[in-house]
Amino acid sequence: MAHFPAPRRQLVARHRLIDLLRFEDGRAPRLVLICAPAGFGKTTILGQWLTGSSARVVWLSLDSAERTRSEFLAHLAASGPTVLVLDDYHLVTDPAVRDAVAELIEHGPPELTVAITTRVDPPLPLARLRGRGELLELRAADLRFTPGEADDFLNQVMRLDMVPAHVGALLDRTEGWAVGLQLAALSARGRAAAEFVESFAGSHRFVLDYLVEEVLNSLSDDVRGFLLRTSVLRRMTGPLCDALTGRDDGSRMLESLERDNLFVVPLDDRREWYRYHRLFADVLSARLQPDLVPGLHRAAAEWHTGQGNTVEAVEHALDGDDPSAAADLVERAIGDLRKHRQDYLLREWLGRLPAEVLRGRPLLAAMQAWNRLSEGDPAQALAWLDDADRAGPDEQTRVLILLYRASIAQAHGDIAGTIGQARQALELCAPEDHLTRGAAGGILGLAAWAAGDLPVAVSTFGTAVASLRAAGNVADALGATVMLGGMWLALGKPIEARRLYERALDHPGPPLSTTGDLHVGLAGVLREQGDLDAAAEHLRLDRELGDRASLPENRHRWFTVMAGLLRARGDLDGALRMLDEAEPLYAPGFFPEIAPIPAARARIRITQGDLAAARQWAHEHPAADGYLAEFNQLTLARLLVAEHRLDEAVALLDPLVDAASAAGRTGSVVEARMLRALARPELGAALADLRPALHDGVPAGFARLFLDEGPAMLALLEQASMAYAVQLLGVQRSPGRSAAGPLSDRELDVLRLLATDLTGPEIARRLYVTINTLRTHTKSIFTKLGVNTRRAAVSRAADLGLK
Amino acid sequence: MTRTYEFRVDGHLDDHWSGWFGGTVLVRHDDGTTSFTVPVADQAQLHGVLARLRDIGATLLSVRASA
Repeated sequence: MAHFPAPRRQLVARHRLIDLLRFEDGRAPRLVLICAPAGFGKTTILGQWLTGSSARVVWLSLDSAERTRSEFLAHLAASGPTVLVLDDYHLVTDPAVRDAVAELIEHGPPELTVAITTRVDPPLPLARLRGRGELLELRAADLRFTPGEADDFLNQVMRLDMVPAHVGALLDRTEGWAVGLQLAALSARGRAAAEFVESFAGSHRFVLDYLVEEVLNSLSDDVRGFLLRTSVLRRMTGPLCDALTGRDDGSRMLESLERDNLFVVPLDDRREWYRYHRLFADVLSARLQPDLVPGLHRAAAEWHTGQGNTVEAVEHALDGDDPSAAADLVERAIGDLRKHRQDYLLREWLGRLPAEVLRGRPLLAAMQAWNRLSEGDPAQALAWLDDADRAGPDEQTRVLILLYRASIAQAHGDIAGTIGQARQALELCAPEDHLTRGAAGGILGLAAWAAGDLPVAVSTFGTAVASLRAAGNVADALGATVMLGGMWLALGKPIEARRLYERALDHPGPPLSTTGDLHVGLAGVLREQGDLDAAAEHLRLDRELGDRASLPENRHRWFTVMAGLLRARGDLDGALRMLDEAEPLYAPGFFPEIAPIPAARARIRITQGDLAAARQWAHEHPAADGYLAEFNQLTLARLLVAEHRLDEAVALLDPLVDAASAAGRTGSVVEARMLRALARPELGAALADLRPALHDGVPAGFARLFLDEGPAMLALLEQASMAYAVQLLGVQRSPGRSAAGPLSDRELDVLRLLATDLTGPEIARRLYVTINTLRTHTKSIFTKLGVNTRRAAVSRAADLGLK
Repeated sequence: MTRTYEFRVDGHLDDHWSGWFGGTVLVRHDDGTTSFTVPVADQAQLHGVLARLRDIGATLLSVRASA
């Protein structure tokens, strides 16, 4: 996949184009775009340019296997490239990959050049890049051979003996099309130039048809048969070709084709694997007798199966119209596909198999259910699960079926059904089946959360995250960390949530689909701790990463955290506007709705003194029981306090404190006690509630929970005569800072490099991060060490013995 | 709803390309162009035909929706 194509031996040196690609100050522009139809020599010119350049090159040939964002990013993560080549970019159809490329071009490290060859203009802001002088493009008109280049090619490289008139006629007829000239040169070998040129120039036939036929006619029957039969292959090696031709000379044939310049491209240095130039393969396969095609594909499928190349075997079996062989192979491949989250392959394959074949196979029917589930069609998913059960599943497949049934129950809010199915799945699955353990644990953890049992939720979910990591599924493990942080917060441990988020963000490599959500989660905790500037910075970082780094079900969180931030800064109208933005983004069904947005809005109305609006909310949301109603009840308690209906507030809060204590939900206990303190008219009774709330809440990381209550709470804190109260009042006075946390591992990495002579950009490159990310780390280090300069940070670190 | 489109390309295409465009009849004209019609069920299929023409390097001269 990441293969730098070795230049073919016979090439015209196209200095004119190479010079265009050279840059005045020796630096490459951000984007090199080579855009022209098939056969114009796009890849060749790029190869020539890079062969002569000192830049480090990562070359991605974008065949159809390169389809998902995560696979694509994996290449980048491993490389730290200088010139990133995306060859045949028109084959990329996944919008997520396209977005990732656009993002890389806009915000990648400054030393990075992206070089793209494509048959269609890519969806990129070309006009803007052009305007900034960051785009260098070669198009068909540039790539057409000039008379001088054609003469060089035909007479020097191909050693023909053509007079300028012949060269001119060929150039006219082919319009400077590289592949046309090359085929013409092959056809003209060993023939009288005048006769060949005349009949070619006098024909109306499509250049490719005319010339390919000429070339094929000049070959022996053996070679011609070999070319046609092997044209169905995506890549070729001797023994594979033999399986299709029934001969034993495949390896020799490939070598001689390469030697004769017959459009094979070596894929490795050992001359083991080749492929045809794509245009040539298309032309050949169009000429192949249609009734031969299925048999050739089946032979290829069989050969790849024997070699253990499952993906290629499946694709050939499907192309060969052999559904039962394809289904066998898909069943064998499913374990790997699930592990690597290659959902798209599974969807595509199952979509190409007839429904009756899938129904007879439990595992495939179950996987089809999963496909329907991920498309948001639980009814169809259930029908497929019933099919799977009827087809007689083995134990492993039964575990899957239970897991999917649990997910469907969860989507329907059926907590008992969810827990029942997920427990059965856990009991049945093998101890080393980390993937199933992770999934079932995740489902159970969420169900426990929805039921208000946070200690169980946190431990079950924490184990699930560990299982996902053990299964090598980092993306899902980080995604689950977003939820786990939310659980720790609800459990009353903001500092623990912060530690989790910070550690997850330390994950090296490019941003994943949930990196932004982690920033937002961290921003929420930092806000709670009173470190408003740092919270704002993480919200900004999430914005910078864009929607790619955030799951749709988490998008509303940015606005709810921002609302909290504005509220803490006293901008109550701004906070309401943010909640208005959050509401349409909220997607129900993914997580328990523990902080409904209408209630959050009512809390701000109460702070504003708009009790009528808050009362209106209370009418529209009648009191309910249970954990999921807790946020509403705590909101109602605030309203009652504001309305001076203090006895009613206390009566509401008493059972709430008891229930939360019994269930181990310290966060709710702290909040309810603090509110009860505000509902006590007598100071001694108020402090008797406030002190335990401070004792449990402040060291765990709560600050804004108290401070957001406003003047009445501040007055109580002044009289609490308790160190924790003094600490909170300090946070209130300097809202930018919080007590400094310890440096993260990543920050320690940065600190070590800060102590060297490296410049900022050099450090960023060393750590494979952008300058902006480095700045964030540096800022955080400065804050934590209480310094303002690099020099001071280094010396303070030395004083503290940090290494 | 199925619509029929007529495509015209430069040069005379050989008959073996017919299979690429759904088994259509390729009509070669004296002016050195080839035309053919393809019934397409939706726009995605239309773009598929265009992509095939692109991939064999044919020069597209016109596309017309016929009644």
